[in-house]
Amino acid sequence: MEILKKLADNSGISGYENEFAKSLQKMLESYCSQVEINKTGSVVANFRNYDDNKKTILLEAHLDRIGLVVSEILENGFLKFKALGGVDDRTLPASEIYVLGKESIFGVIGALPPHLKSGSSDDGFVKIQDMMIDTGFSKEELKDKISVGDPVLLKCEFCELLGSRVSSAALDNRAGIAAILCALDMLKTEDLKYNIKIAFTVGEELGLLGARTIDCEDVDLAIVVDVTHGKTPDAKPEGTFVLGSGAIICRGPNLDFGITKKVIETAEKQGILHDIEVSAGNTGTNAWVIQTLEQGIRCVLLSIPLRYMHTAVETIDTDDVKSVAKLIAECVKGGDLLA
Amino acid sequence: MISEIYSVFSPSGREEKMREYIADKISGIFDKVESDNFGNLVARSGNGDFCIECSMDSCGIMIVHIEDGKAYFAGVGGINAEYLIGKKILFCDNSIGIVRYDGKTPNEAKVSDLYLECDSSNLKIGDFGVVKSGYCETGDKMFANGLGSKIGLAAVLETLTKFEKIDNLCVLFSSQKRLGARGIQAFLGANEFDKIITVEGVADKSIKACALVVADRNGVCNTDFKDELEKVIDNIAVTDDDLCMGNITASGKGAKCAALGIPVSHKDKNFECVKKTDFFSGADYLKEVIENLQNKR
Amino acid sequence: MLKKLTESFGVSGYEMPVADIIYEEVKKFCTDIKFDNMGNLKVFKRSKTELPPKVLLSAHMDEVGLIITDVTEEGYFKFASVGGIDPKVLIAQRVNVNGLKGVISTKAVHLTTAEERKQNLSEDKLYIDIGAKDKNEAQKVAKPGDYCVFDSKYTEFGNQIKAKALDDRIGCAIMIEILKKDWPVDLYCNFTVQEEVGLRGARVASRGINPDYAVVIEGTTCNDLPGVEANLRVTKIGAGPAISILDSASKGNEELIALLEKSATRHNIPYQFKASTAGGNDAGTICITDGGIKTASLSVPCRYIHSPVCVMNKSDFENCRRLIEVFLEDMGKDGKIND
Repeated sequence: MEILKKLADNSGISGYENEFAKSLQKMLESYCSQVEINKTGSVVANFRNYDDNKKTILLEAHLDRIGLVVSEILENGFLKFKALGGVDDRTLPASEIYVLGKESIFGVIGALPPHLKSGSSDDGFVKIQDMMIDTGFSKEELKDKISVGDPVLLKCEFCELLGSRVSSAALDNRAGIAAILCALDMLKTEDLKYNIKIAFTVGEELGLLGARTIDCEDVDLAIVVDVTHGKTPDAKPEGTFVLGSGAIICRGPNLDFGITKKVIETAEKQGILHDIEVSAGNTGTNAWVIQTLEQGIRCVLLSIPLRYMHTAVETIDTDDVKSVAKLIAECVKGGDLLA
Repeated sequence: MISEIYSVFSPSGREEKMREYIADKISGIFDKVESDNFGNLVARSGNGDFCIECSMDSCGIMIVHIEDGKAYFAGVGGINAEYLIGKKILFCDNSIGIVRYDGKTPNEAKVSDLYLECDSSNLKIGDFGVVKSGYCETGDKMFANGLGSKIGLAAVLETLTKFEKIDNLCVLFSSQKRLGARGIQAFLGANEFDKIITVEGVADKSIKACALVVADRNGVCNTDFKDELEKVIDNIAVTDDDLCMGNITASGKGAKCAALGIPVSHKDKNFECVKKTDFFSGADYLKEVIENLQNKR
Repeated sequence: MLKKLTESFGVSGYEMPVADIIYEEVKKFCTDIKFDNMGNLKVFKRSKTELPPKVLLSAHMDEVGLIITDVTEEGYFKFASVGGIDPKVLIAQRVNVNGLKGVISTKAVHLTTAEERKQNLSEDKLYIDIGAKDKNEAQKVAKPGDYCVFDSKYTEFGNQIKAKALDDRIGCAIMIEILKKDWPVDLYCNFTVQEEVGLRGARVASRGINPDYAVVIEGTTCNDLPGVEANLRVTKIGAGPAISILDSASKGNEELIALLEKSATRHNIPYQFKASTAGGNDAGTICITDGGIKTASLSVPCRYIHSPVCVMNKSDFENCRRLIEVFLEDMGKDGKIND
């Protein structure tokens, strides 16, 4: 839980991941021999020693989070903005934010009250083009602090709910990164039959960008860790998972049929809580891109159930993070994933 | 020269006339100018890692069926049926056709409801046509149908032709951009760069002058690259339009990408408009960027 | 062979059964056969002449089908379509679920209201019935993530053939025939996977070959039915294989199209052009690979494509094969110089 909190409190907004990438690089240096930031900003590392004779498994999770970007600074110091990644704009009004410019300044997203808008009779939801950030400064005062193109962070601090549930912004995909780090912890002293590479990629929320440029030349299997939809009273039961269901293993054309079966068997044998998700095409994760890199890379997708995706109040059960970590560790240890 | 660019026939996928035109205009400025297997035109001097990109193509139509002197067609690139009604279509051999619609509700028309009144004896299935641009100017304004799609190209040529010789630069005149940045993907899959500037028209009404676009619908410009370019182009903007920045940063081995956006008004309507001040400031920015590159060597 | 291929099971993401049939056949006359990490089957046949041109032929092994997403308490399967299937063709159909038969339908017409009969059913309202008593019994047969195909037998009628998966077992069958003979070109035949979910296998399989030309052999839409306007028919059955000029994924290379036309005319083989810009196939990912490959598509017109009762004309199929064959022969004579 500590790691998760630390990860979630970092910015690392899509397109502006540099600082978070550097922090992750430092964190990984305690586990890994070579940790680098590649040409497009993703963090890549080799876990422990690399043996040319062994096959290589890649553990991948995207490090970026959705956010906003300043598009205009208005005369009275209000800011217009646009989304970076799939922000649910219904959730923006009344949000607290930080503009990450030369200085980090606090702001609030209000909106034109509907009864002051000229005649539009839609369902009442305000469009992002009509929203503004109230900074409390004048345009003059803002000149040296922020500029157009600066990223905007949706503020929502990590908080514990009942039991092992927690809520924070950016659990998509800091939960995934946490799962991988926990798995590495479990594998620290094990005898490994495979090389393990790690990639924390950028730009996933903008269109699976970072995954397109990771070096996968020697990768035999990629285990992608992301989040999936947690069950809520108003969502369809198919394709959503109760928090606490464990590691959600995905089946479908994007994932390797045989290896995924072995992962499911491992979960059953080791008594790891899990459930099955089915995706008939694009899983919407980096696995979609990774599968067609190089000469094709076999993929497995493990997800953590998460409620209220792409809002500032994403909610998960940390036990699920542990289930994913354990499943990764058991699969890698087992040595028979890749025959 | 600008009006010439709009009279060269170059629908997406049939840009051969434009390749000839560009090669002629920039003859002698670069070490090498050649087409690649995909149909892109690549001008290159040196082995540097900087690339400027603009597209050669415009939206158009393709004939799918001819009957009773009427030619039916499908759209090439995003093209709106209502916009096409009554337009003059130009074919490769300079023959023309007029788009007709016999229904009563033009705003609900589909492209398959339209047909061309033309000399169908000369046409066959698979022939491409473009909407006649009708380029004209008045005062500070330039007008043409489809002005926005080749305004980037116009700015790049305006800039390049001011140089006698350029070292250390690659210019990609990309093919089939209106069909999904295909030429860019093909080219970047086989050629690696560190920094790429794409020059495009932007329809986003919030961008009021030529600007360095640092974030578009799917991509963000690397902060270091932005800081470097900001010294030359001080007007910064972000947009929800798709200027292919995401695709460019993630194609091939990846690169840093920024867009030089030239504002276009009334996009996809009759006679799109670009202000000459915006156009020439864009060309000036590009010139300075290229000059800085030359001095680095 | 076409009968065997169309009756086999190979939905996008699970093409192994089809790949195995093709492999068993092709190994009788070829030695350079490889599977890649996505499951693409790549065959190479060296030229019988010196300094030959390189030609790539490509056809996809996968068909559209269904994937099980959930099992209800009463023992029905919920599903999603893999690749584009119009839900209307699913009603009152039989499917093959892991070797057993199942039916898809909705409640009997007698139990519907006039309102209900007017509405189109979406696939999330449909279900597969294998006759199971309850969830337990159903789960012994299939689980979420398992695939199903249409249950449709290969049938010859008049000059036509009805079968499922003509798109694109047609291409596979033609390539197998072609591989039986020797050619004056270095011939690469890629039997690809996952075309129906995004032209994915071809992206990987075509890397590293750098052919002079690539021809995609497909089945394409044919809407030449009475009552359909002339400009919406796309292709005409019996008029020969169709050359695509422009579709949603690629533009046919003019040079290559001209060569195909030249060969067709020279050898009196009928052909037509695809009169539409809709649809897309593997040419889309092949043409942008490795810096650009000159690619074109040659397709057999198929009525009712992506349904269990796909129909094609026998002579179109023969002429498609013949055209590829004379094209390869002519390539050997004329080389890759265009006149």
